[in-house]
Amino acid sequence: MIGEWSIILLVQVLIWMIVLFEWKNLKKASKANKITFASILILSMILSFAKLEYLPGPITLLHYIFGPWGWFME
Amino acid sequence: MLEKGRISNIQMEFIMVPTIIATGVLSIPSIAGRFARHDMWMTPIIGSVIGFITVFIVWKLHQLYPKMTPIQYSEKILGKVGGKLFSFVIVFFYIHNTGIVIRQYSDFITGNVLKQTPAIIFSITILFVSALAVRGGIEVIARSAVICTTIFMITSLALLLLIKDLELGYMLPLLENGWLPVLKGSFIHNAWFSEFFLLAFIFPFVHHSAKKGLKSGMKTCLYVMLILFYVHFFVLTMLGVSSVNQFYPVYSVVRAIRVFGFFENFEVIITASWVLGNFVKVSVFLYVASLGLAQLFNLSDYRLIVFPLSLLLFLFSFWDIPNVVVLVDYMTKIQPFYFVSVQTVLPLFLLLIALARKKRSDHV
Repeated sequence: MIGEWSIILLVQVLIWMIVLFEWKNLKKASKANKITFASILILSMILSFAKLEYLPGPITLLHYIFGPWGWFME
Repeated sequence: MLEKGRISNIQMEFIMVPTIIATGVLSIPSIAGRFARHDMWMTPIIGSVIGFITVFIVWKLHQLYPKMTPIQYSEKILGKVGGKLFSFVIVFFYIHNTGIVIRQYSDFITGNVLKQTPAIIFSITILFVSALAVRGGIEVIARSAVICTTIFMITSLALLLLIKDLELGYMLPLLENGWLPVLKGSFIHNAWFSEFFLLAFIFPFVHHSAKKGLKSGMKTCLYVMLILFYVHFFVLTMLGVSSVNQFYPVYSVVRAIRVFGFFENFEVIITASWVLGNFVKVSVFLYVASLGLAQLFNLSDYRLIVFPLSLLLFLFSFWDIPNVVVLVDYMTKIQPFYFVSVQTVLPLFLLLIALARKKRSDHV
């Protein structure tokens, strides 16, 4: 589902809505706040382009770290 | 100080109960039941030990560093680099975990209740509502939690209507395969009980938490244990061992409620109230994630990043989870180790180091 054009469009719309909604606060905010705000949104935008459900991510990493103990639970 | 609100001990209890059980009641009975089978009613009792230990660790740390969240005191205990590393692990843990909570929520609703609606509708709506609550601060979360938890708990009493259909014989034979399967089942509970580490982020904003914090934390853990025991007992005595073949046995039990052959379909009311419980859960997780992130980067206000973070969490709820089978596999094999090591073992080391430092400074 994620990675289709509709989702990319939706995330773009949401990003602009968030920026518009926070515009007043953003103008007053310090530099660190602005950078964090922008980087989270850019990160979300990048993620929205990928086929997220099949993109190796945190769960694959956790399988590498905790996988060897998984046999306890079989 | 990023958060100026203050809440009372009783409000803290109202916040914490749905935070643990909202997704717990859905997934634990089938997973824990797969290991413990007839003995699954014992698993919450044994599993809650980690909850009591975590509450104690958190409270002890809070006593040493009052008015501080783990992000702040970890820097004092471990030094600048170590503290930042610890905080990063905790913040990333909560961001990722919130994504998984949202995925469990939307998967449950699309799979059982509203089957035609796309899952993203549920993810976006719950995130939006929770983000509004989180922007209001801890007091808003606490006040809405008091109302939502009350409704959530009252509707759970509907299970009592099943008493005449219970078959206590399903609980026999006791300990057929010994203690090992029961311990494995309770290990699944440990993942949820270790979420009491969230208290570390709430204690600094609670009135008189240094005095009464331990008692209310322990009381909350006890309530959670009793509720999980209640749910497991009904699932086991109603459906028997076959309940382990379903992803959401509690939902099947609720669907079976029937009064005089006339009042049926209680599951709609119960699901609606469960959404309220889940709202509290997502709010608390989102609050902790955004407050933690703001403190990690030394921001002046956490409210600004709540909405961007919600968008990121929405994407995290899909990342690397193609379907519910992968999610259940993760919850069985990875989550207990992951949760207990991040939320109980890491804070335990933090506490030991803090105590050692305090002892040394007392000597000098």
